[in-house]
Amino acid sequence: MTNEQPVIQVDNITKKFGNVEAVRETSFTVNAGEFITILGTSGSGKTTLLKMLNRLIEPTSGAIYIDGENTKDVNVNILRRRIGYVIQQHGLFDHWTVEQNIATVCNILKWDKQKTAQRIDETLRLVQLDPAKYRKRHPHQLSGGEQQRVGIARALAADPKILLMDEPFGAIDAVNRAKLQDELKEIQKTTGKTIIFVTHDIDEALKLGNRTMLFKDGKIQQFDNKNELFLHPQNEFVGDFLGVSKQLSKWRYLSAKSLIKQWKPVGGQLNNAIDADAIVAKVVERLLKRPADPVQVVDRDENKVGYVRLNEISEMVGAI
Amino acid sequence: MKWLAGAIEYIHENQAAFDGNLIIHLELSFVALLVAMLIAIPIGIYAARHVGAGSRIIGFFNAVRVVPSLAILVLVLPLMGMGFYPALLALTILAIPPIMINTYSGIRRINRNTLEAADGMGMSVTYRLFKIEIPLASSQIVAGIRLASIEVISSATLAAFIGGGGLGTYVVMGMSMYDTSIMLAGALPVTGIALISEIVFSLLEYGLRKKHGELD
Repeated sequence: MTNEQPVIQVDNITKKFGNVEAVRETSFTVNAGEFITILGTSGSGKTTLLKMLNRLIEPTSGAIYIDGENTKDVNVNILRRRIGYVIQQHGLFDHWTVEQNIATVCNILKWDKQKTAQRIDETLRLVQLDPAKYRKRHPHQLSGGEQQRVGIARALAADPKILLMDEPFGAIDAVNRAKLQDELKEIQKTTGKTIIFVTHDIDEALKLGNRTMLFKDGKIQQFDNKNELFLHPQNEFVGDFLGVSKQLSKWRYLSAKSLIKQWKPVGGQLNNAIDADAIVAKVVERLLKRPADPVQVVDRDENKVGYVRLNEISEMVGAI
Repeated sequence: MKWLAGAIEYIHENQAAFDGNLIIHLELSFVALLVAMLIAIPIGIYAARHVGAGSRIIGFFNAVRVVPSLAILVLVLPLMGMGFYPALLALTILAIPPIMINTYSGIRRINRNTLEAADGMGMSVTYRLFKIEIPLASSQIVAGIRLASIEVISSATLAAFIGGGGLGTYVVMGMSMYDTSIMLAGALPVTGIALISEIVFSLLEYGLRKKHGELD
């Protein structure tokens, strides 16, 4: 049943617009269920890279395989119906209600009415919108955050394996953006979708991605999980961009487990535990609240624990 | 008031002839509008999708718009002679530019992201056109039809000059007889029809704009 074949395999693609190379000889693979963020400034080529995955832009050279199949060999519309797509703004169809919008791909695929209606309710609940309240509304009667939720529900409706997201929260205020990010992360966990998410926001990229691809001048600068990006930046650009040398950046982005040098098997009571994947800032916060107690950093997958005390924290952060 | 009473009296006395002319007037306007829609909407859509040819097509029809309606009516004369059909042709030519230009701009105005979302979800070109582009442009297309209908209904009055009949017959007759009442017997119903059409199309346009959230 399970095989090791990557869901997406990008093989040496280049995209030229006239003489400008937006994407240059780029290759990478994505495995099933990964949440990939592509981080770069505007003009870096990150959106071009994303749009080549569902052939909104055709590569000048190179090939892209989805589930082992060259995307060029698939009818472009059929390919796109199998891939969810969410964009920043004005992605919803203003003349359609929320339910019509969500049913877009279901209707193209001519699903029967009952199945579609059921799916509309399911996906609305998934994005935390009450179906009874929202089904019949029009996009202009929704807030920006609600519109993006509907956009996500619409992309999920036909149950695609892959979701492409092009700065979906770019126009949302900070408070709602953080909420949407948390929800999206949760949705990704529960549905197991493979997500490719483009953003120019470092916080967003590192918070959401299992792996983050730093993209600049049409090339991958580094494609790693955030701890690797911080601990082993492959070039000066990556280090500068992430602010690797800054204490505060480490607090914000590194996970608690990177603090721990000595692990012990879990035994006894955990009364001040923190998840190993939590950020360092959470550990610091806990230490400041309960200065007397050491924080237990627990890695539940490997059933091990490490301790952090207030008098050691500065040294520990300094060491990473 | 005397003229108004005179006009009403004149209509009553010539009820059968008046009804005939009213029907011709409505027929002329309605058919011209319908034919113009069938021609203008597809060309407008084509122009919106082909930027190069499109701007030339729209430029040409913008120029047609400048020609006065009476001039178009008279220009048709040597080609087709007098009567109903020449008048119909002239009115159709008159109705095409506003509908076409509004169709063109209505489709061009659609947000690029909306279209990209449609493509990204795997809509075919025709599916996108009929389910997304035309509906989203509909309020502006209706606005074009509203403008064209006013123009056609009022210009149909001039059809009488080339023997096309209609309510303009009374305007021409009244003018030649220096009889204001007869003139009003033609002019007032035309005004009424124009107003009704304006109201109906305005309501339709308003309804569409409201539905699409274009009013906030």
